[in-house]
Amino acid sequence: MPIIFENVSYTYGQNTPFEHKALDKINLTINDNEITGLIGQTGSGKSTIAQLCNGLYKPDEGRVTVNGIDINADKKKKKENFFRVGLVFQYPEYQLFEDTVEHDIAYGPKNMGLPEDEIKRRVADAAGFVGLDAEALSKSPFDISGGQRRRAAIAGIIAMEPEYLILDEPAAGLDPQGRDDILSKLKKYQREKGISVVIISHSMEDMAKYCDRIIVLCRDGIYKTGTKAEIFEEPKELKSMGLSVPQITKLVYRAGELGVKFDRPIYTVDAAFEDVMKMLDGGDGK
Amino acid sequence: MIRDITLGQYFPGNSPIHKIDARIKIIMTLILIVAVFLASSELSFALLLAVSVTVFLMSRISFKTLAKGLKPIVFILIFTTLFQIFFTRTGKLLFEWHFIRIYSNGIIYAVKMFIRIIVLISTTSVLLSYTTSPIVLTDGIEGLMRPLAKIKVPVHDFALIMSIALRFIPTLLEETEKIMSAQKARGTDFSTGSLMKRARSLLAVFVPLLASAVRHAFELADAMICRGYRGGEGRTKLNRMKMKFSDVVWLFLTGAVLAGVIILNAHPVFTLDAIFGI
Repeated sequence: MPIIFENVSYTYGQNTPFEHKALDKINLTINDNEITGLIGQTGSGKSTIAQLCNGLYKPDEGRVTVNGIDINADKKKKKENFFRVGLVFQYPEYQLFEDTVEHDIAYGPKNMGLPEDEIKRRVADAAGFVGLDAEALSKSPFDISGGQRRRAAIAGIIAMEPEYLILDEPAAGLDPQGRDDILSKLKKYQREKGISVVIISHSMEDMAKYCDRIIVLCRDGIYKTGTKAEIFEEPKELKSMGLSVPQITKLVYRAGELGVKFDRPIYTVDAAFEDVMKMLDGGDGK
Repeated sequence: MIRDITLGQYFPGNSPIHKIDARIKIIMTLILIVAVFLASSELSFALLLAVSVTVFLMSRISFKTLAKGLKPIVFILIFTTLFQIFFTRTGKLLFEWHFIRIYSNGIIYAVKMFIRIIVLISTTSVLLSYTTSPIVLTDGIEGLMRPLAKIKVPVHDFALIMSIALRFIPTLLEETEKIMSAQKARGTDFSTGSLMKRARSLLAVFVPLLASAVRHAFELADAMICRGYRGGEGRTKLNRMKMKFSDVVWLFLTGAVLAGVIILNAHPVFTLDAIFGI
């Protein structure tokens, strides 16, 4: 069962001079068992959507349903939503606080009231997924590197084994290797567990590489929803919203203008590399 | 939500009150406070009430905002007013029921006390908190304290500490809110459970918050050093405070109010006592 937004509006600082309408009658669906990318300019409401998904924010209008249940209907069941829809905030490493990384990852499962051995299993599982070894687990979260801290924080959410995993800019501020590392691990995790993952990002490259479906937000709401082929077929429209197609797609367009034709639309460097190699082998390359 | 606590309560605007120089506003506030405490005759209270209503109307702050600002003092207000009514034993006896006796002076003192507190709080908050941004206010304080630098008081350092503290309150509040949300998303419950449990929940907020405050402090210090900060000596300002003609007029008007209060105190033309027939 998916997460569905029906005519959802949300306003920050209602009835103050700082009032700001972040979302206006939004409709969207986050499907099961795929990676959804949420992309849009700063201020288009991406993070607001993330916090509406698990009930941290309550919509001013409309409803948010998870598995067919309005998550804001029953106040007593609020906590369950947090465990069902795991949310990793931007720069999650700043939320670490326990004395060891291991205890910090166990914090969520502990709050769920799970038995001790189940917590242990989940911590080990989650740590394994993000690639934290026993040595890192025994250290203080303030003594490990930035990339490791990020992974520890993500593991803290994964350990709750949510049905939906929403990550707000999971790769922001990491070096290119750390970026690929985290995102590919998330993809592997999604494929193995068959859960639904939402990745919020600014990077078209990451969207193209890791997401099955992309939702593009603009200031007035949702601009478009679709597969990467559907999203990237209109580079001009994307550009007018301050977004663009992946660099490699631009390059392939340019190559096409110069007479090097690719058989399929290209969105990732790997695909381009594959095709170029094929062309070279076929002998019609330059 | 935490963000609803508008710290310093500053409301941006463009009213004549907003435009008064911060230094003048501080002096005006001090003069008005003196006037409020000097006032004793009915007419001087009427004058002060008229002044504070005028200032409030000119500031274009909504009544709702002011009322919200007065909320915390409602208890003191009611308490002191009742105290005056029930425990003053002079003047004409107006009402008696068992041990409760209300005298005319009790009513008069209560009304005066009520006006005194309302005028005090509303003028200071309209003049200083609602219409002056905290940073400008700090600048104003620094400007007024400048002469103290001559006797080696580190005026600039104090002002800087104050500005930085004020500047980072919203940042830290925002951060607190973010951390609280993040911990809530991990199932932290801040509002139920035993005292120990709740204290432990707060730990999940305080540890990251402290870490981030320290981080901010180091980053800010580095950034200031990089931009050549070396204390107040020989430092010029981007926004220099300039006294305008209208500021001087405001100052004179406030002085006139103080003089008016003193004169009206000495020459009571009309008193409430007359109404009660004493």
